[in-house]
Amino acid sequence: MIRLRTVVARKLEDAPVGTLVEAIPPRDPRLFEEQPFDRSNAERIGYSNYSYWGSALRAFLRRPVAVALLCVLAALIAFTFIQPLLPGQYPATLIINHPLTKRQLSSVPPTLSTALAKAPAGTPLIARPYNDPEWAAVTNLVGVIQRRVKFTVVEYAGGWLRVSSGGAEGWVANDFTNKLKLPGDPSDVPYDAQSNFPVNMFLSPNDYTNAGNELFARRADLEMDASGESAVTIRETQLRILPYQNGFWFGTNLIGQDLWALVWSGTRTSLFIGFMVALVEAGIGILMGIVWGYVRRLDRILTEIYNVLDNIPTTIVLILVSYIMRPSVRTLIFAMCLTTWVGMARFIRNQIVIIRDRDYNLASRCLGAPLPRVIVRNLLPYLVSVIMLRMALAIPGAIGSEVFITYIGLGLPVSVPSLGNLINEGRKLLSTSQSYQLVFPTIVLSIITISFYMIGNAFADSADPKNHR
Amino acid sequence: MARYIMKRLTAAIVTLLIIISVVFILVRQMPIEGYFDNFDKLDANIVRARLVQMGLTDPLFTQLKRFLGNLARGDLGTSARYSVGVPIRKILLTKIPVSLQLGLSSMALSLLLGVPLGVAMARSQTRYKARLWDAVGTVFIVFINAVPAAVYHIYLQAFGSRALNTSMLFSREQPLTWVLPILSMSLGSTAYYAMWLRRYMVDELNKDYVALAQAKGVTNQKVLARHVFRNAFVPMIQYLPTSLLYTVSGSIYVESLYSIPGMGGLLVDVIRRQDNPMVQILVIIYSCIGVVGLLLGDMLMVAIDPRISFAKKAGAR
Amino acid sequence: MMRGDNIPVLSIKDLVVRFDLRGQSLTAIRGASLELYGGESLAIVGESGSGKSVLVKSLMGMLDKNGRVAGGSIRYNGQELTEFRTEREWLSIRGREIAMVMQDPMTSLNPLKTIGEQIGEAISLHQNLRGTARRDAIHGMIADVGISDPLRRARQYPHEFSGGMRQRVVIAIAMACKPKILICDEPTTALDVTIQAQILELIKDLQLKYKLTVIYITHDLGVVARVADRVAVMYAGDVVEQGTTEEIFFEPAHPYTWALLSSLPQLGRKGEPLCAIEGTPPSLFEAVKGDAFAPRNTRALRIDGLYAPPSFQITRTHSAKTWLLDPLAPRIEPPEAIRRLRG
Repeated sequence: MIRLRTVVARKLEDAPVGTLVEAIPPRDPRLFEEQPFDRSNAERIGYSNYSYWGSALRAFLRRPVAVALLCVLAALIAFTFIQPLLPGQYPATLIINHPLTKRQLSSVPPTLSTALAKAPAGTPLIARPYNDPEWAAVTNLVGVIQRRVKFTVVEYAGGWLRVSSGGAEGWVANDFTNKLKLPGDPSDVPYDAQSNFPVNMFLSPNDYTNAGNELFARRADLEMDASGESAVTIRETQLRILPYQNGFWFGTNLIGQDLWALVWSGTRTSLFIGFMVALVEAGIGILMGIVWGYVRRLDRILTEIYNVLDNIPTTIVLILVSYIMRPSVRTLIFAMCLTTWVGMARFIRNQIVIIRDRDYNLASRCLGAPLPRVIVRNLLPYLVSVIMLRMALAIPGAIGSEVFITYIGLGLPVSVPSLGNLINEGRKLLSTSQSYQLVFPTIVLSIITISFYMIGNAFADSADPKNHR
Repeated sequence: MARYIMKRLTAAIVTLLIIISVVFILVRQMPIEGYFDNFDKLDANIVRARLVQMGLTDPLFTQLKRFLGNLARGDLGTSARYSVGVPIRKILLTKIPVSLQLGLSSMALSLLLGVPLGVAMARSQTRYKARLWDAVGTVFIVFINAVPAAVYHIYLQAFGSRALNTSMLFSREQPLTWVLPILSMSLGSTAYYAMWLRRYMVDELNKDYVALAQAKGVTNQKVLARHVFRNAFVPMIQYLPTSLLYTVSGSIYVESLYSIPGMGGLLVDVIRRQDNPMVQILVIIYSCIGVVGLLLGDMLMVAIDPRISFAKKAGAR
Repeated sequence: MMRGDNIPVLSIKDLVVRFDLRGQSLTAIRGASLELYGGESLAIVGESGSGKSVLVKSLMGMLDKNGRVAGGSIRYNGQELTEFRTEREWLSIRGREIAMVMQDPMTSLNPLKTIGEQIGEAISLHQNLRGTARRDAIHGMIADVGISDPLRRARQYPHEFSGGMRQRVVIAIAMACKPKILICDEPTTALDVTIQAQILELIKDLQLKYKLTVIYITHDLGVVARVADRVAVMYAGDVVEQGTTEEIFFEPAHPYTWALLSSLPQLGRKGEPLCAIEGTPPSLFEAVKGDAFAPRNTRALRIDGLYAPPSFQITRTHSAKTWLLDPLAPRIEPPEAIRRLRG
């Protein structure tokens, strides 16, 4: 009656699993002996080692984009604090004037370095009066030969001509054939020549000027003569456009402030506003939420307050408060927190009501878990995820609001660098060659807001036990 | 149900009164320059006389009562600095049609773009692979939500006007200059509609009744259209009145950016000009729109969703 | 309703269903075989996660999007269902041949459509009726499932019905498809005890009236005893034992069936602790070695841990997958409680 149906080892298109693809066992009676029962074996896959926070962390780490953005954001925030401490940084609000012309260095395009050229040792230079212990203003521009003024070419050296004119001697560049009246064989020196255009005459066959302006070199690299009017380089010397080591990495703005320093300073301001708004909102929200949830007598009145505040568009509150109060960081934070805390408070209040009502909390309390334990074990995980999400989203929201309110003309004074101010200033230049003044602040701002947004959402998702494995 | 509507209506009116009073009192705290177009040149005595004449020296409560009375009669006051002495109502009447036209177009556009995008995203959730639309939509939504609108509008304006070869500023006569403001205004709500529709639809997709409909032998296409989409759209209807009303007020930022002579641009103008009476009225109008929009949204939900009147009666808040 | 020698209407053979879950593969059905005979009531029992629902969902092509049939066959009416790829093919089965009643009547109705509309949808699809004929059919269907005042009720929304009434509506929708097979996925679990019996009676009546074949999915052995002709016991994605209801209750052969029956509180004796099965089912993310139940079986054989048992035919109608039925196996008596049931 009992018939053994042979299990044929069949190859299925998919990988082998248990029952289907096992070999026929050997007919060995020993295999049919009873085995002692091992309780731990029975529990093998029990979820007893489930840890909420560990799982949340693992779920978060499984999101490469969010993790990458978190690293970027952390590095960026850290850098905003490190940046002023780095050597050679310009103070953010410093208006940089040209040291000799005293004009603002407005809209200098982004440059990595102030270095322009390297002069070999022994280069003769003309020193210009510039009172600085470290830097000297130098040039090798002897003078300008005006148009149609006769001069004599005394030496021909390919690209450069040594000339003498009106008692002075120097080099002019030979890249203006149409300007010079040259004889048939230009190497047949000396000969007289004249130019149809003004021609710069240099001390050596090199242009060590910045469009005719002085360059700067370290005094340590020069040997000045007694009069202080001429100098010779004692070693290979870096000649710079400005008496500073660093260039303007993000360029300068319209009034000659270093955009690099401004962007980081502005980021600090905007991040400060963002974090403060998030903290104040969470702080007041949680506090009011707890009061709202626990003090039942206040439930009605707070609900009514919620209904009123929740109905008013936050943008309008922001505009009105900023309109009435003097613009400052504090005003902005105050205006942004004024109504938004009700959302958080409402959420906390609902959770507290749920503590009282929900079955698993009731169950925990029936099992004798003290209230704090119920809060920590059952409620906190859910609370934290939502609070963190709200805080993470409040930060980009606050930064965006700052940009908006600055545009309207109610933001921070221009003397306080902020991303809003920078973007508002740069806005007018987007269609010009100075568009970098908008692009750099925008890039930093977008990295921050997108990171916070993505990280906040990823965190909320990973805090959701449904996404735990 | 009638009782619920009455309750909701009363609450809205009380909210409106509170908002108007608070705004009124707050604006009274502003420096008095905001009531004169040439304050610096005025003699102190003249200023005082004018203040008395405007009733600004009366007790606050008397002022408030008068203000509310005027509002009830439809008198919104006169502009102090923006265009001196012109009744605000007259100014608004020239601005509202522009905002309305642009706003309605942008709302239509965002529904036209956002709803299909949301549906496409939700649909790609029903498949195991090929989630292209979900990816595209998610990138779009993250971008629009995370990057401040104040920033991407600038770029859209600059590059858009270059691409379309039009002026950066709005001009009523040139239809091409309408394109960018409308697109700008619609981006935010497009992302909003797409995001929520996707979320609601995915929620609905996981419900048992969808499985039952499938088990009946209804095609996936029809399940999506007749059951999932319909049910997912209902909660969104609640926000339609608010969106619609906000078209009246226009997008503050976009209108100002493109120099559109609408309500939103007006608000920025009067703030920059510090015209107290006008800021006050505009802020009140914007707040009221929020309240009325939510009220209408709730009413609409009561009308559409058969469950709501029942649930409310059953004692939900 | 004995089956005699008829050919099964539906036969599942060595079915394997896999799900891709966050990069891992979960084998929800591990080579289950099962036959369904015309007109019978088959109960599939097993604890949560044993794959009962997945098994029946695969009959209708309604596996979740990350699931797929990875092996084996499902034959129905000469068609091989595992070869179905397109929705069109499945539409010839869904509703038309096999209909389903879901567990929770509170959620299985569309809250925004009237009852009439929802029944009507099925009627339009499968009975091809229009206009008044369709309306009459809707009202007839509502009356058929024992709801009075069908004209008024058809215009009402689901939230206006009680749980038991809603389940009647769900049954009406399923019946409106005129199916040959009705799958009832835990049809009474979400209902009050008093309502449960009425719903089961209703299904039984409808089965007689429309000559239905019914598959019950349940973990309630009380329901099984009440309605089933035949029982299939599922454990860890496999049908470990099947037979007539009498055979399963009085001659169970598989240790898991023993354990399942022993855990019935009714079989316990006053003063003795209730019988519970120790441990948890195996993780289906990993390949199961040997008998899936072996780790929890207090009296497992050595071979249980090494080789998966084949199906042993005990009677013409009764088979079980356990090495205990091998001629070499020692004689292990069912636990006390089972013998008590028998006696």
